[in-house]
Amino acid sequence: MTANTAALGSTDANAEMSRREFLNYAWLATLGILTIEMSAVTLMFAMPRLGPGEFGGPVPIGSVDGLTMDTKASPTAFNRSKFWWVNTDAGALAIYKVCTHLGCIYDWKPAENKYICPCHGSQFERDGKFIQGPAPRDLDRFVIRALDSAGNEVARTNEAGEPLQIPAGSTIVVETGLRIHGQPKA
Amino acid sequence: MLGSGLIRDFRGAVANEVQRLRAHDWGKVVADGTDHVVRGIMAGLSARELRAILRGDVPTEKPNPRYKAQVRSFVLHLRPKYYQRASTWFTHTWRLGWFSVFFFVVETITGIILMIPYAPTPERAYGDMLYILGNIPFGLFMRDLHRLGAEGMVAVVILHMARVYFTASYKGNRSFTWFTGVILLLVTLVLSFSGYLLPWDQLAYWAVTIGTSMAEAAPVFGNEVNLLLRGGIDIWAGGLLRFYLLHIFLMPLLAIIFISVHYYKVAREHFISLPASVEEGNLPPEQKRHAEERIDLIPNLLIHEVMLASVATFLMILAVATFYHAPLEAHADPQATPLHTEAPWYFLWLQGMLKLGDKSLMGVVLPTIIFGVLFVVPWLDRNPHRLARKRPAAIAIGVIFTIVMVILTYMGTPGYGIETPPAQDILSHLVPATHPGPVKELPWEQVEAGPVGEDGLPGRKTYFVSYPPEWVDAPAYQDAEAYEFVTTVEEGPEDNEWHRLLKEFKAEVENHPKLLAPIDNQEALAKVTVEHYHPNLKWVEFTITWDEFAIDPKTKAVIMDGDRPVLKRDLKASSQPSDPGQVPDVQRSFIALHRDSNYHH
Ligand code: HEM
Ligand code: FES
Repeated sequence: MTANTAALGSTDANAEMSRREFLNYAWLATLGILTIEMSAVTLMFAMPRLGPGEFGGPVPIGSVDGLTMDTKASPTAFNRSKFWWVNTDAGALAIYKVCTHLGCIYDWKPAENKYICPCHGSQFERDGKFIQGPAPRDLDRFVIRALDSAGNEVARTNEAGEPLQIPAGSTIVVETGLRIHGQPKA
Repeated sequence: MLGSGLIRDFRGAVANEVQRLRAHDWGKVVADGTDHVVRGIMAGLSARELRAILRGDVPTEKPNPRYKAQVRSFVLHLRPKYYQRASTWFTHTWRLGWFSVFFFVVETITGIILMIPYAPTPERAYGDMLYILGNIPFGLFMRDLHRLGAEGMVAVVILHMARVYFTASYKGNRSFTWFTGVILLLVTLVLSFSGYLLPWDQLAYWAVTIGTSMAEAAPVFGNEVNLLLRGGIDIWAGGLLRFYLLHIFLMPLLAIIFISVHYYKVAREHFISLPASVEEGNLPPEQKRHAEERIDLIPNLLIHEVMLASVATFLMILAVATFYHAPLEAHADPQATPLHTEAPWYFLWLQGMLKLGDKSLMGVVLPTIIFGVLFVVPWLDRNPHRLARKRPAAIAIGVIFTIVMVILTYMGTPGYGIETPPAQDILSHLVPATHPGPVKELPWEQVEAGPVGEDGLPGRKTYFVSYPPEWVDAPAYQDAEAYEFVTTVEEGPEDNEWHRLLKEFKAEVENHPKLLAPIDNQEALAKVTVEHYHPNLKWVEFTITWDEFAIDPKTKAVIMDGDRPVLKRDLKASSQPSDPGQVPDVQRSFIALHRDSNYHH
């Protein structure tokens, strides 16, 4: 075996790198780096970028006087911007209309007084609290900002996403890019 | 003078030439020429040789021109020259690998044709589908073939894997073949699933939304993968284009590459395994020799494959021409999810697992483990034996795995383990959001709406399906053209499909334990109104109005007030003063029937 190999050539494992070998490694390396670069560029091409005005940005919904502030009424749907406007005793919520399970649009069922998802039947209370089903957490909420007539922010949903008391007469902007995950179910 | 001499010479020359041509063997010239052309096209096989092949005769020339053709022809060189007889036994392979290729070819051909009138944009995709189905000759046929082929391919690839597993044909140096096979299984699944979105109907849209949401549950990069697949926060133009590109370009390319690698291993290196009974069993030497004999690809096997292709194509066409139709539902609507979105059947097991637990674990981690284990099966199974009785553990694991998959698939069906409000559930069977449903399939005339009124108002008829008994005699409802009471009488002489459907509806609401007839008898528990809205359009509305006992969400027991069960409406009246309260619950569904939309067969 060894005799045979020796007869075929003298490349052994500890041979020093020749100039030619080095150059060929360099050629291969350029192609390898090119492949990595092209993959990165492809990824950049494919990664969606969200522009202003698309869902994912601030959505002004007008003066608070035009919104239901009734704390028992059915939630108001904002379909294009994908949230429910809900007022509770503790304050207002903008609840993301997409189920926290696998992304279906759930409905408000007035007869049941809760949200029910048509896909796998997750159920949530009016303020988004998980009731039952496969969803892993409460419904997600968007940050609500209340602005006075001069456009200054007078109230804003806190980081925990708690209901917001809205000063009378303010205008409301719902930040559909700032989504706060619901509490994981117990 | 001079002229006549010339003419005579000319005549003589012509006569000579004719003489010479006559003497020529024209038959041979034509035959040689044809033979040359045929051999040129058919990789050296003569016309006579081709006939011999089709007759199953021995070669007409020496050396065997068929072997030579397999060297010269690109297509034939992909195949081995010969097999061992037992490896070609039908019940060893069931030709399942072959059928996988067959379906892939069918998909490629029908898919390219379907690409001609289809544009992958939200504005056009659904319209193009309607155009394909309604306006293009053979459009429906082509689409049904493509869908049937896709389902066939998934089924056959799965069965092929099962056969390879149970015949232990992945052992030894065939491990790598198995490994590339699992890649092909994944490619086949993605190929099929990426096509699922393209019709751009509700089913497609929501099944794919759910599918991509699963990626989001991955422990790392879940959100990024989801965005990459969807091309945005929701699936829209970008997502449709991405799925289209996956479906018509990337996945077919991967399929071609890996089918080539996979088949190269089979055809050039290891050949198809012998059945374990031949390789390991103790067959009498005579039988063993027979089983291991070489048989040539050309002619018998090749002809057998031509026959299989012909029969399989015929069966597909028969299915498409008689009963098999790919569904097309309402246009995709990102604002409204239909009830009971169903994954394609080959992913129901996953949907079933999702019902069992957390979506990261069941939707991402476990499936990854399952496929990971599938990849390394040949390295996990260290048992060198192939006979079933010498590998009982492997066979048992295979059987159990199959059974578990079947059960999970059953659990994945939309009805299983999901609680929908009862009235909505019943109505969604009558008027489903995801397919035409039984009402659309009724003959148009049967769904009567009563005559047009004298005031020119559209004809309108109310069918009381479940009602307080005294209503039957109420003076208000005696006009038979405007009111009809659905009875439980088994089968009336005038009963048609419409009446049978109404009776089923009646039985369903009346037998449902949760639906109580409204206690104050102000409303019918169930009714249907049909309005002849426009000469070619009827509007059919189904209404269920019911009372329900209030259930304690914690104990799941009916709430009692002393010994009287509390109704839900009583609770609601106290918790939601702004809602009317004190009324029963109502659920409505309606459907438009068009005279020309012929769902009725
Ligand atoms: C697109 C999918 C596939 C195609 C087109 C394909 C094609 C083929 C063909 C034509 C054969 C020759 C033997 C026969 O017909 O059974 C074969 C053999 C084989 N396939 Fe596949 N296959 C596919 C998927 C798979 C999968 C999913 C697996 C397993 C995970 C697999 C594992 C094997 C193995 C181990 C062999 C050798 C079997 C033997 O020698 O008996 N293949 N395949
Ligand atoms: S997506 Fe809502 S329950 Fe599954």
